[in-house]
Amino acid sequence: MRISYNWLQDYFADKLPSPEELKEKLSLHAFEIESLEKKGKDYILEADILPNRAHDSLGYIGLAREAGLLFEKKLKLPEYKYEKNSEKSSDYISLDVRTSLVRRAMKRVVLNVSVRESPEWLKERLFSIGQRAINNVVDITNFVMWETGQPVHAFDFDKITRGQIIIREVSDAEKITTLDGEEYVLKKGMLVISDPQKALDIAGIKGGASSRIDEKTKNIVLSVCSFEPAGIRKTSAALGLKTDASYRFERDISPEKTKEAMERLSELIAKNASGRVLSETIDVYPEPVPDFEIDIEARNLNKILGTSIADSELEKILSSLKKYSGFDWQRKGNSYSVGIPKERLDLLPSKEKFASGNKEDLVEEIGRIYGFYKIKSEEPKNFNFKPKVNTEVAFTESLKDFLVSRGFSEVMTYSFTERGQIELKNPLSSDKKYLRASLFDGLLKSLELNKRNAPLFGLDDIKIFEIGKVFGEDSEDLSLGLAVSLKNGKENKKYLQEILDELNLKGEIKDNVALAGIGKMNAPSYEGLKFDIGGNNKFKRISQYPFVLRDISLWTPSLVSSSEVRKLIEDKAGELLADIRLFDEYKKDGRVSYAFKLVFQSKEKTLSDEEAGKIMTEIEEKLTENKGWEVR
Amino acid sequence: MEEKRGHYHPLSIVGRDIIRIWSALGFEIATGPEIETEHYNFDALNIPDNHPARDLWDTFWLKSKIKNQKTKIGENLLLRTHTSPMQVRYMENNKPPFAIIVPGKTFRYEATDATHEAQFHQLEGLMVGENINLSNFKAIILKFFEEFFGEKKEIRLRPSYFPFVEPGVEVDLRNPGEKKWLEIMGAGMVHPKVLEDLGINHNKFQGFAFGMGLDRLAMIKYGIPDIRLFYSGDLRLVDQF
Repeated sequence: MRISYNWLQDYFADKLPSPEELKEKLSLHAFEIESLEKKGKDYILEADILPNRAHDSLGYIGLAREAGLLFEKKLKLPEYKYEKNSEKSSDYISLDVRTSLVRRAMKRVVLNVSVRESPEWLKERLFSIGQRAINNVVDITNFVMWETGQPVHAFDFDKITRGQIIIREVSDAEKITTLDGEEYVLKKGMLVISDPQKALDIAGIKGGASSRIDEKTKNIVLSVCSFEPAGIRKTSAALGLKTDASYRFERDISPEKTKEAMERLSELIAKNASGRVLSETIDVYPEPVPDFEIDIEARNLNKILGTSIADSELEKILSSLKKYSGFDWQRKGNSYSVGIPKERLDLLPSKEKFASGNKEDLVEEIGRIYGFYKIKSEEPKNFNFKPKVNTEVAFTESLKDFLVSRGFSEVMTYSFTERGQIELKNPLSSDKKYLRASLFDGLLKSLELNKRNAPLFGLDDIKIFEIGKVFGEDSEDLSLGLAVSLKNGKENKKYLQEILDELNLKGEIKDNVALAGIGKMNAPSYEGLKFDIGGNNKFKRISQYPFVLRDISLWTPSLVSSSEVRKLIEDKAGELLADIRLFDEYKKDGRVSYAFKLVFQSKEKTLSDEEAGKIMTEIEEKLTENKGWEVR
Repeated sequence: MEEKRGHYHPLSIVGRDIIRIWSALGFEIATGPEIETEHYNFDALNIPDNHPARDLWDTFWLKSKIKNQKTKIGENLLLRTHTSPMQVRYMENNKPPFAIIVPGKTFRYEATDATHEAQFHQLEGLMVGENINLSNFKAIILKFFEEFFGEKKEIRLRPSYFPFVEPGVEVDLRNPGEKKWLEIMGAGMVHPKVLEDLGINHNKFQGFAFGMGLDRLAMIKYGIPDIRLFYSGDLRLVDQF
């Protein structure tokens, strides 16, 4: 929810605290403010309103109540003062609600409106949160939604056949063109507001073009409805049509909110579109939200939060909730009976499969106002539980220790592959359509990659392993995969077999990869595992550029150590030296011969042969400054 | 020449720390399947079908279904979007008091970038007893972070929302003296409905649950800038640790 700081100020008699203070306090007590930006003379706060607060906080009035409570600032809310005409809406329109998916429907006629450009203040408010201005009537409906959190709509009365409004479920597929000119095919069960001839509106989602307000519009029907959220969500998903209205309705907006929104809509139309608002509002509301109370005691709070909130403090919070957010409460003995405002569906029992309206919900509401950050740390008391060893984990971990001690390095590859037996309904791409049936493909790819980079690791042999789940038609099993590329005449297959034998595992070996199921393996305890395997290393950026290999061999007097030579080379080569390895050493005639493999690589560019040659020359010159050293 | 020692994957190094630290804190390690049913991943956690809370978890669905043993109806299968289903699986078979952690691979249907991966690792925690409360959570999780990072830390709790906990909180972390907080994990008190559905008397037992990203912990600890590196199979990463 995008919050304009200046817009929010409209609902306060007092000056709001600074945008930074607002951000901090809302984040600590209400919901996360993800960003705060200055925009001209205004500030924009981006609030992450999660589904539990959508009922009351997806509109400025709800946000004002929240901020008012937290800062104890005086509110200045709309009063709905406007002139009403004595004529009745029902003399012009009829309303027939034919589905149980509508919780409430309110309609009201306004005659003789003047459709024109919106006044500056209205345009400014809408622009501040990135909305477009269209005309005064449409802009007012948009404004009211952002203010109240309740989506509202206006129809051109003269475009409704015989003034008959029907809210119904679609029975046979029918087409509708929405306000933006897009055509949608509505399917059975979707909800529409229609007249006897055509659909006027995809209910709760988007208005239709056929009853659009334009500059010729004279008379309008104000429409404020409340819908079952699941139906809106299903239709919105099926049509691929998400709007600010569907976003709110699928998050469950209380039918009690329609009245406030209709009043505000009427007021603003009367004042800014010079219409004659008819006094009667048609209101179909079959099942009003019942009164609901939750009983709570300070000890309930303290038991869950681990706090020591006293009755006096609880009463103070309840009084704030009453003053700003319409909670009602009275003390009954040690307990408080708290009446829940009818818009707070997160604190009322849900008719859906969703659980809400528990004591714990109220603990959260009171707790967040108290401030979860004030909760102190306290060790659990009288907690007796003897954890068991997870023998499977003990085994896989000891397996890692063994393999690493034998020179294997661990890799992790993707569970998604091009082939397999378990197919995804919604893969990210066609080469990630399946779940891997074996670790083979991933390991082979990893082996090839690492073979190319072998000089960087100072290794002749590449030995890698992965432990991970593989998926068969009806199975999910833990698997071990080993992959090797050995040099100096060693046989890959033979070596892999030796490792499997040592581990006492049966497996199959193919193309330098060994695979073995380890799902049934276990070890009795975590004792014996190495617990100091991580250093304090910080990650060093991996170069994207190719490396260059050079060998250097030299004679030195026999007392010179290899590390002494290595240090000289490292100092001279500097940052470009990615790896250095001694690969040959022998003594002859009172001298010693060393041969090093050097790997050069830049993090910024591709090194040319000339550049590598130049460094090599410098290194050679440096080494031969020493008496009796001879580069071969 | 002698055989050189290989290298552990950084996520395994983090995983080993987790075993060490949480065992010392008295938690049992539980593990569970990566393919889950809609029931365990969502419904049993108070995330019913068509509820907007489902949007908080972008999901990979499988083409195949599994027959429910009780209802005999084909149930939707998915790749678990969090390790939380193991809360339910564990509580089906164990009575409180208990304290468990669940490390494991999880999946989200989302485009990948430096901080988002379609596969990643999570650590779930669950502690239920007669009087386990949020201040106990705070004490325990602070111990974990201080031990894990090897330095003094501060944490704070603020409101958040996960349908299977009530209240739900976000946990922020920082070094003492620092100004900025780092959002590190979600947590809360296990929702009474979750306990009730599992036949656990929620008037007698209560406790906390938490979940955090292991990849993220490793990225913070080792300064690794891109989550995708973990799954590249590239020893240029692993060789550094």
